Amino acid sequence: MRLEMRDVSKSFGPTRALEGVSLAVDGGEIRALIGENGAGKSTLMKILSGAIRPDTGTITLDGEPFAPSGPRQARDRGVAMIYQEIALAPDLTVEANIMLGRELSTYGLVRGRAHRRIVRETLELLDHPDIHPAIKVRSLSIGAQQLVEIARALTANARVLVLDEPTSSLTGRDAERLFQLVERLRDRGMAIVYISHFLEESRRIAQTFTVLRDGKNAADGLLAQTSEEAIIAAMVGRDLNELFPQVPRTIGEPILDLRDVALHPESQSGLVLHRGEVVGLAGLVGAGRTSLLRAIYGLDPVRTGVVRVAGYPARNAGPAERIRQGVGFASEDRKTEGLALSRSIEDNITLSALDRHSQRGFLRLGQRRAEAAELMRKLAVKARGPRERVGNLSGGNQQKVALARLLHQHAHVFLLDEPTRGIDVGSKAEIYRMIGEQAAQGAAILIASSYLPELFGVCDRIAVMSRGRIFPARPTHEWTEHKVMELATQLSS
Amino acid sequence: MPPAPASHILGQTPRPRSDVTTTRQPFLRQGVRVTGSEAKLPAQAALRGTLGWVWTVLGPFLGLILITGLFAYLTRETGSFLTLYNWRIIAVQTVVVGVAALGMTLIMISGAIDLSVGSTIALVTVVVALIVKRLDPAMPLALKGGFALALAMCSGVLLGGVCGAINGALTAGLKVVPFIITLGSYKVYRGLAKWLSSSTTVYVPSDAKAWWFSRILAAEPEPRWLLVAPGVWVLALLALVLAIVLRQSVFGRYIYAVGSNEATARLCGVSVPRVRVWVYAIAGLATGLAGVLQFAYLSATGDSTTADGLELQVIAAVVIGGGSLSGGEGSVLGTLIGCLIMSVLNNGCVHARIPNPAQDVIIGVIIVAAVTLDRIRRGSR
Repeated sequence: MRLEMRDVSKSFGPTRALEGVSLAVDGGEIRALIGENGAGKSTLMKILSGAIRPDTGTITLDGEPFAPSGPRQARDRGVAMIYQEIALAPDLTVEANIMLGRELSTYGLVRGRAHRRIVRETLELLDHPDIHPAIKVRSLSIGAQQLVEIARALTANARVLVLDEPTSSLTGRDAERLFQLVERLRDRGMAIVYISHFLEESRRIAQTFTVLRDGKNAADGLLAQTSEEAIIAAMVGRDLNELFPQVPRTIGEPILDLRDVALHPESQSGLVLHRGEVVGLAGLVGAGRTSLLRAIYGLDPVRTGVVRVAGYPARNAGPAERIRQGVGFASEDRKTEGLALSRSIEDNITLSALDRHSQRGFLRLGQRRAEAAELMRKLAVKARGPRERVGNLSGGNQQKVALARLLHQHAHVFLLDEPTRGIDVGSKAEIYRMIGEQAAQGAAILIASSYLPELFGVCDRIAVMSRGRIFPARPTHEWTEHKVMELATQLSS
Repeated sequence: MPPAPASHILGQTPRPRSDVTTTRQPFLRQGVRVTGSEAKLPAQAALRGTLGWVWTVLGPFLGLILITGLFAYLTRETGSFLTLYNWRIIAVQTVVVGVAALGMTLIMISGAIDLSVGSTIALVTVVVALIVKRLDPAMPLALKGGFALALAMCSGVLLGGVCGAINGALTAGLKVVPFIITLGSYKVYRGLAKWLSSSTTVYVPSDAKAWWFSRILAAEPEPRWLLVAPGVWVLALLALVLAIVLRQSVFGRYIYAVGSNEATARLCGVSVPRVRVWVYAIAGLATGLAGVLQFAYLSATGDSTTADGLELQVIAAVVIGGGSLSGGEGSVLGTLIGCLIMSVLNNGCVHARIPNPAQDVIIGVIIVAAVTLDRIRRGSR
């Protein structure tokens, strides 16, 4: 089995998503596909799954041309995808999900007995007979749901398996089980493409790698013979100092006190943020980083303890009061929570502090627009003007609008949840610069991120979270990626 | 290519699996982490899996018993509520809403909605009445008094199917949300009914009514061994057929899959537009049947103003029975119980001499309470 893509290009309107990309993987090989968000990995996956067609280039499976017209056909040819987000119907049973689209039937009625036999045998071959076929998928853990997806791929005669960041929501032990399973499939002759931006994870599982950057091949080779620095440089395509501009700053007095706040019964955070300080929160998806930020901001209840903002009464408050206290929060989910996509840039920037522009309940539109335009200039938001719909902007510019809102409300405590997820390298550098400038002007910044190079690049201190527990923050230079991951996955059984 | 166990890729026949055992790693014994109760009690999990549908209708069923008990207590002096005769009436009163609600169950499981149910029913009664009125006098003597009526009733069912198919085709073809499409057809079908009937009630000549016609929804069934009116049996039969379709057929699984996660269904090669059109067409046939039964309930008159607001009653019944507006959930049995709860409420309030305005308030409160309780119960699982 050999999957080969040669000189594949794809444009969406003026945007060139892929430009002459080549990729080959043989049976018995696991190839890591590495790249930043927006490098073209997901476009490549969509082409393989048949969701979109390449403009130019050829794809062959064992020498035969492969141009699937849809997901169904790709599956029939033996190419299966495991997406980062679980693609199962939660209200259907394990059995119905695995057989979905390939049911065996007599006169339209499902042959339940035959289904259960196939499903049971497949789950046994995956060494997981403990997943009951008649259980609804909704009630399974994420790890078990992923196994159901793999089982679905296997019953569909998959010979090429593409996994897209499959460990992003798994605990350490589940991830290790997944690695062992993937290795067994490789040993049986499957060709596997493993997409990830965790370098250590890629090294753990894959032998060969391909780096994509801005839709082009940036590097290719054997992982064992390539240094970490070389891969990062290929991914980012620029000097690391250029990506993380250093703004000189001094650490001031404490401003946000979370010492006794806890999401976990046995673990108080012990965290105090100072003016002029950038603190990172590392951890796996589901470790509680988002819950912590939301609890500080008052979107979720604080389980135990009190959030103290310097100069204000110590009590747990809702978002309106936090905004008055100078606390700002940028959601990880800018499309559904962070921004009102159908509204204009100026509406989005000024929404959290509209009273600044109102007089007896009426808005001073000119003043509001001028201020929004000023912030757009400051953050280099690329748009036609303050009245443009936010939904029309690119991901990077949307994120800048979300952050401009925090500047507009004069926040001096920034709670940023995955502030650079899914945006281009240029916007990232601008956001890092903004973070540095705000800290230099005396703001305290708390960043939750799954992207470790970013935390290492911008933070003064890093704290690791695991299953609701917060480990003490330590200066960044005392950490290594390995130490962080060790702690993040340690308690996750 | 038929689906096969994964043996092809693992290069072995599933049995014997001796070589698998040797490669078994320690972690494989422990299995994946399954949520709490299942990890501890696999037997219970299996039982819940197979009896899941019983579990989901348990809440509505208890609600039905509770409400019945309440009205039995309120009417203990007259005793008119808990009589066989009254329950036959309740059954008959449930038929029209029930048949329409079964169709709506399919639609709501697929994640859609149909607001045109009441209008479709009105249109069907008018068209059936018009057909009988025109056709019966033209019939040869041997076929008089019945044939035209039967033919018209069959056409009525088909008309419902066409109305539904149009809704489905527009939703799938124009890619406009079902709420808007059926809001439009709600007006259009009602308008057509008024237009065709010239906004008056259409009466059928009495000699066109067959001997069996008045028995369809008679509270006292004839012959007696039927136990309930033939219309009730129609409802039961339709429920049985749809239950089998939903639980056992490939099409039924596609309905749940589309409602539960449309993207996944598409990914697995399910033709989502086709499923949507068929769901609306089949539900339309049920609505058509409900229209024909309403025509019988109105003693063979076509009324363009009948069944006004019935769609909301139907949606309420599905939701009380465990259906969800966001799709993926709902069952035939649950819907039937939901319909019964509504009829028992209506009927019980009359027997308990609760004034009409208070009835509306009570029913409104019960709908909200039922769905809230159901949400809490599910959340606690």
